[in-house]
Amino acid sequence: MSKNDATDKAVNNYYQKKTLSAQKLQQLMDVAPTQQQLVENIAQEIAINHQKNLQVSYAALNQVMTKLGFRLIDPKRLNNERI
Amino acid sequence: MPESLAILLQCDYRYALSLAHHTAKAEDLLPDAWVAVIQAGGPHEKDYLFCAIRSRYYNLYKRERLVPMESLESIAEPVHQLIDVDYAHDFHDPLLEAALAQLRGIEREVLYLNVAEGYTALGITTITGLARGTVLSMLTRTRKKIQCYFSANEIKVVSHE
Repeated sequence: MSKNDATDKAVNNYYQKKTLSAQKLQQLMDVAPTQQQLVENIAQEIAINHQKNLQVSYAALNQVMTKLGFRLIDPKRLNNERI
Repeated sequence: MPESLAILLQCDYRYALSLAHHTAKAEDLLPDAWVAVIQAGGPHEKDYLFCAIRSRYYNLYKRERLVPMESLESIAEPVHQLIDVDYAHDFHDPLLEAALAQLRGIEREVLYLNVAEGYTALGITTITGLARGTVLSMLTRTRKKIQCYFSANEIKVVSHE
């Protein structure tokens, strides 16, 4: 094994052994979906208000929101779920 | 999803550690970077998250320069003769830890991306913004610095005996 290969292998092994503690990992895993959910909820609210005010169709709005990286739930589905 | 998220978080942590070389600082970088990515509606992809972590790191620790200047003396050949070290067996973690600590953040980062994440020099340029030639020469120099550190340490051990 060349010096460089051995160096690379040692550095790789060193970093692969470094892991977040289970507690820290769980904290971060809780943060990520919660924040995602929060942002999606806000986006949903804005989108629905936008639709109400401008009388934009759900399909057109959904197309725009998808391009922006948000999933837009059909308001009809939301009403059905509430029932 | 949770399993892939966990893997991604561990990769993020190791990358942050390569920059900061400090456990608490690396851990602190992750939530900030994640929240920023989520708020920006960015993709939950490794490259994008690495850039977010990198940006936060350099904002927080501006004293470490993004494009470090290095004196010619510091990159000159070491004055001591390199002795033969059995590199297959002699990389002990505490010594490697010390060898990595003496590197600059950007050197550890470039080495980590290449060695642990498998990025090519071209891939590293997209994350770091460095030129490809700079990445290649930095990789060569960084490996040599680690090897020199080990050799120098061997010499010290011998001279103390």
